[in-house]
Amino acid sequence: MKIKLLKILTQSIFFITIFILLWYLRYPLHNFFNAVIFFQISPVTAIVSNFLQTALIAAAVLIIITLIFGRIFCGWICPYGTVMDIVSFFISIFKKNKETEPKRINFKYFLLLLLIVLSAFGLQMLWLFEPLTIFARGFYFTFYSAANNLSNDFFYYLMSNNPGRITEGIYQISKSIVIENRELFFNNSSSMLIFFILPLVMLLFKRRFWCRYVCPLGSILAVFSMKALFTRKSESCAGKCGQCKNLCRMNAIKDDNSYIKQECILCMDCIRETKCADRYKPEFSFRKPVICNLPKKDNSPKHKENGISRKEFLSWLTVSLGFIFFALKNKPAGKKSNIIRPPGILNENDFKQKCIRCGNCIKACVTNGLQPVMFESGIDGVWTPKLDAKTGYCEYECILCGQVCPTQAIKKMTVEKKMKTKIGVAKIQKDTCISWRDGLECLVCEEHCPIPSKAVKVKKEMINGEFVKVPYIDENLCIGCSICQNKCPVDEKKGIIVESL
Amino acid sequence: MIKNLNKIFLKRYSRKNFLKVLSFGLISLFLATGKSKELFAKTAKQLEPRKRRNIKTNYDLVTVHGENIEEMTKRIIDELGGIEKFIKKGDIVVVKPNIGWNRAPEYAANTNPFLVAAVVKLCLKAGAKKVKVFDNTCNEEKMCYKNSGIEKAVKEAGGDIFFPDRWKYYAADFKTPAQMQDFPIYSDAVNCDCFINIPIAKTHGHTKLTLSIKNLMGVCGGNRSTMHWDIDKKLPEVLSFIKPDLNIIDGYRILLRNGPRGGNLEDVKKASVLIASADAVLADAYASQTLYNINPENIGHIKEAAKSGLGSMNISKAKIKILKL
Repeated sequence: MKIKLLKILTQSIFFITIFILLWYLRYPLHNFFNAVIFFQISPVTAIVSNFLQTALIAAAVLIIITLIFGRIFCGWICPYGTVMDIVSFFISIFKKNKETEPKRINFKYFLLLLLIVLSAFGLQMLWLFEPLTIFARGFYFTFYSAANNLSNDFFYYLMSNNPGRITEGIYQISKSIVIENRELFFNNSSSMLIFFILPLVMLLFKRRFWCRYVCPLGSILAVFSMKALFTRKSESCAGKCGQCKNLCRMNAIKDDNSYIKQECILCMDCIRETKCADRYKPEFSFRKPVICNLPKKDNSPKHKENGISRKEFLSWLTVSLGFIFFALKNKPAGKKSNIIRPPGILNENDFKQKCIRCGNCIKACVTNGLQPVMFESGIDGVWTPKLDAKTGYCEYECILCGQVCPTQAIKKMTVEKKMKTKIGVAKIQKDTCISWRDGLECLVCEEHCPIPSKAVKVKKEMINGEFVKVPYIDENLCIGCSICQNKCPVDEKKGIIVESL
Repeated sequence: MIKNLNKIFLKRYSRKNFLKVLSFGLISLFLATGKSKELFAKTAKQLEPRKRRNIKTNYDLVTVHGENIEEMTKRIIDELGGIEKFIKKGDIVVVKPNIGWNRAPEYAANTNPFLVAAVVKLCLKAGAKKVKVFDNTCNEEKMCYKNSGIEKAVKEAGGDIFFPDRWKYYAADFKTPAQMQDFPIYSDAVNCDCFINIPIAKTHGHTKLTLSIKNLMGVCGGNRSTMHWDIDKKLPEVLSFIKPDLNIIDGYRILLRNGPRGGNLEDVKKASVLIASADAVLADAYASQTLYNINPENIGHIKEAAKSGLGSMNISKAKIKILKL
């Protein structure tokens, strides 16, 4: 009972900590206590980032913990697992938990292997299944933006109708430390939400469905937890009452009350509610398990169901081979994508390989200029960031996106280097620019241009029989920061448009 | 599961419960049909032009040359007649520096933080109840406030620096026909007892120079880029709306080229001068004449402002005091 409480306490502390880390991943960034460390703790990040040093150290810490305690990360720390536990708690009010003998639990190893093979062939798909990034995407682009915008709107109504002193005080505090003083907008956030919700819908059928059958992070940890020191010790009661089996949310306990060690996430369910006699009560310890009366292993077909049958294996293999073939054939190899990437991306293909789509750069961007793309950069570029001048621009002296990238897909740069990094080039649209078309002096683009000697220059030109000051671009100086397009006052089609290199 | 659902839906209701459900349903119907929008409707608040106190200063314009900005600020206001002339006890004061760009102070893109801090200190010493400092920035506001050094300086001086709130922009009602009619203007800039305008002298691609009149663009909201169309007519209108009590042009470092954003240290000149006047047009005319050697007749918005009687552009007629520290 005590250990169960301890587990719930630990889980909520980690959940709140991660919540705060993700919430405060924005401009005044703390050097160490930011969400980057949270993403780097996953070994998947280390694999994807070609074994980046900091990611490797963080992953090593997690693996050492796993070698001692087993999959304690999945049960006690993982924020997505916590969300699942909360959802299953509400489902369990209506639905009684009943478990059968473990089946198809090896699918996740198969999937992990497939994803690693794919990434070796140059098609990175690990990000689609990585639970930390799924959680972060759902958090950033749905929860955070909705919470921020709704509270902004709420305060808008509250404050514009003669607020009292207390409301004013609450507003001032939340404005300075909780919410951002702007409305956030993210493209394609609904597509990310679908992948966040889908595993939660599957909980209607099985508790921790995702962790049992799919999770690649879980399967990496499962491999390391096979020889973990911390084990479940139980006097074999040969599973007469079947309580433990039905309580286990991971379906790790078999009919004979023995358990599959790599499946156990130490949720402590079997300890809490088992009503069996003290002698049979299971406990977790570092001592060697004493299981007497272990039933003999038989080769009956029932036992084989723990793994996967030959038929299933072959069908999965065919499907995945077909997928690999399809994906690699449709991969736009070296195709020049016509979107503007954030600064610090040297090689487009290398970037797609390393990006885990955690959304850190998009959320942290101070102007809300970075947006996730859908298929603009090919099938392997889903949800990668692009600079969208409709919603924002690249702040000249800001290097935040490189600082928050956990895999260094966007390179960390010094401010001096970033100020010289070219990401696009601006082009004047002479048919829509109000100066070139109507001869009306405007020059907003020139005013905002951040280049010290101005990439948008001014000359006098004869327009409609009058000499007018008009802007033109020095393409050697322009770095493509898009502030000119963002601030251009022409409504329909902007008078200046930034194109990719 | 179905059994449980049946329990919920086939429960027999008491009158109390029935009324509860009915009222809940009616409220949600009310909200859904859009009637609620009338309740929460945004009332378009109108803003009237600021009423300026009638202040007579000892001189029309005072300039101070020197090195210590705090001392220069004190002297310049003393020469004008002392801070008490502008601020009464318990006043709410707005200090409007230029915090438009994300640049360090030495690039002369934003007002010198020492000057802002010195003015805030003087206001508080004179008994001001609250000193509000803000600007509608062009770059990201958090970065501008921090990197310009003004946020830190004002906080240390005891002033109240904040980011503008969206709901405090009210539609301006000019009373006379104006191009800027119904343009959103920050209400704090109007609902105050004293407005102190502290611009920095910079060049500008469009208006040639940005001085105290152009600095008032920072109290406007909405799509400010459209103000650039016919800006020479629009800026005097904003000036007539705000009517600052005191303008102190920061000429300690001035930007000679590539304004208003700057970025090259070669473009910055250390002129070490402050120009103060209760008349924004006169201050601008004097600054353009002495700092940049441009005849104010050639600067559209200054000429237009003088023409509409918002101030005098005639430097030779004005009573000017030049100080050297």
